[in-house]
Amino acid sequence: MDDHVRVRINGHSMWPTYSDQQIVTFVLVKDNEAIPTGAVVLAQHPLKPEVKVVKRVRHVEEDGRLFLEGDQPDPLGSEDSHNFGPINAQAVLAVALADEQV
Amino acid sequence: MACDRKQVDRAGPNLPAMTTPLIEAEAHCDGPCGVYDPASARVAAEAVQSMTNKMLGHSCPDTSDAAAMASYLNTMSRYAAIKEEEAQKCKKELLVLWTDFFKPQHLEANPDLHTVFWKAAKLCSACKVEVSAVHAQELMDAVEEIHAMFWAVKGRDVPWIRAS
Repeated sequence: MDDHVRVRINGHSMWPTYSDQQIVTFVLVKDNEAIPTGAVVLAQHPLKPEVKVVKRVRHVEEDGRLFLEGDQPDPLGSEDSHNFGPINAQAVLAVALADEQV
Repeated sequence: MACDRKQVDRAGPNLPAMTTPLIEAEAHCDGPCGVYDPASARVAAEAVQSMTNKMLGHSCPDTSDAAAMASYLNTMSRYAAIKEEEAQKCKKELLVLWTDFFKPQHLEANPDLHTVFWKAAKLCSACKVEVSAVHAQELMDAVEEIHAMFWAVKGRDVPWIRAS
């Protein structure tokens, strides 16, 4: 279990899957581990070094970068790859446990 | 290298060694400014009500008195112009709250949110077109209802106040 981390969600961009302040268990990714489309990931924000984000991998670009998106249906409800573009797969730190997702 | 394990471990607060690390992660919308307040709509609605009441209370002079009529028409025109301008401003402020601040999850606690905003916006239009003290008061009541919903969502107890 030492490859598990708990993550507190700050904000509503992953609603209705995760609510604000919900604590979710993530599994740290291994070297060169492929991140599947649909996975909820903990990733380093590409523009803010001090910020980590939780988003869903909406699709994988042809060059291997990941397009992240919040689950929030409101178009103004998530800052994600629509704002900062696709991210490098190396920026993904962990993947949410599938059975904790609604 | 898909993961910097040390980076993750450092991200959590100072937890006991045997405890699974807790990491803070952002899931924010990060809007342009994030500053919303129904007070802007309330001030505009108060102006609408004030202008409406002034128009209803303004006596018409002797129509054969040209100077008095000119003054009367000038004053009434100004009241009407301000009333329309503030009603439009109120509608804009309400629409910003409705479409930008409130999110789908807020419907859980406020299932009639859309109806409240729709009626409030309609009242703004009615107050523009009419000189109705009844509709001006109903607009104030609607803005007060939105004030209550807004601050409940924010988890703050902010009393309803009027500037006038």
